[in-house]
Amino acid sequence: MIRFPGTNGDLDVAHVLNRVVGLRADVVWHEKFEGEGYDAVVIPGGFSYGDWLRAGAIASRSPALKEIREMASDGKPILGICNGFQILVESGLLPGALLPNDPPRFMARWVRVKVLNTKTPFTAMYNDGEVASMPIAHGEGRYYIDDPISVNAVFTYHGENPNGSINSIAGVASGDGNVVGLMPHPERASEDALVPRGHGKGGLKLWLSLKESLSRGW
Amino acid sequence: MPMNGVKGGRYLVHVAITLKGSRDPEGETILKDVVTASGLSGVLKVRSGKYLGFVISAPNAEGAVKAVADLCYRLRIYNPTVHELLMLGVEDEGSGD
Repeated sequence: MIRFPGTNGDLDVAHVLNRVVGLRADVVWHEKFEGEGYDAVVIPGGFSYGDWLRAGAIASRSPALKEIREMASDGKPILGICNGFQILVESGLLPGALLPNDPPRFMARWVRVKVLNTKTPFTAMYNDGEVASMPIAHGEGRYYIDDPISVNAVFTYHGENPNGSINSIAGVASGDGNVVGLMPHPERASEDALVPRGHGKGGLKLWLSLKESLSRGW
Repeated sequence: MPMNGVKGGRYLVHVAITLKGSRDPEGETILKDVVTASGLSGVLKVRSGKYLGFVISAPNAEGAVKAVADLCYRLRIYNPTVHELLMLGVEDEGSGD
C-alpha cells in the first residue's frame, strides 16, 4: 500500500491483506516507494493532498507513480480504491475522469455492484455478473468518459447509480486487466463484523482473487 | 521601479477551470437553490469552476498568457477531456520589487 499525505484507507487494506486473507503487505510512504520487490500495489482511499486541484491530481505526480507505471507495464496487479482510483485516472494509467457527484454531495453508504469482467487479478474469483455489496464514501466519484463503450468496465452500480456515473460505471480496468480502479471500498466489506443487515461481505473475493492470481504467478 | 525594460516584467495571469459538456451539478444547485430560489429571474445558467492565478515573468503580457496556457495544458492542470481552461485576463505587476 502506498501512503500519501491524506491517505486514510491504508491500515484497513493492510489489515485485510495481512490478517484476513493471509498475504504479506506493507504500508510504504510514497516518497520511499520502490516497486522492485513487490508483486502488487494497492493505492488506498483517503484525501491525498486534501483533494487540492482535483481529487488525486497532485498525488498522481509523485515519484511513486513512476514506479507504479513500470510495475503496470510489467503486468503486475495494481489496484486503486476510491482516492486511489482517482489517482490512477489522473496519472493516465486508467482512462476517463472522476467528477464531482451528481447529485452534488458526499455519499457514504452501502451499495451493490455487478462484476462485469472476471479476467482481472482482482475479480478472478467472482462469477460473471455476480452482485456484491460494498460501501462507497466519496464526493468526486462520477465516472466520465467521452466514449463509454471503449472502456473496460469491471464494476457497475447495481440497482441505483449513486453518483451519476456514465453507464453506472463503478470501476474500470486497463486494456490488459492488470490495473483496476473502483470507487467502492472492498476492504470495508471483507469481514462479517463490518457488514450491515441485508448486505454481504462483497469485497472479500477481490482480495482472495488477488491471492489466487499471485499464487498462479500473475 | 523600472517599467517595461528589455528584460520584460512580472505579470499576474488569471485562469479558471470549468467543466465542459458533462453536467455541472454545483453550478446547477447554485442556480436552482440560491439564485432562482431567491425569486430572481433572468439568470439562465451558473457555471462552477476553480480559479488559479499565476505570477510569471515574461517579455510581455501576451507572452505571459501564452506561457501559462501552455503550462496548464502540459502539466495537466486541467483535464482537456472534461474541462475547459478560461483565460480570464492578465495584469502587469511591474518588474517586481
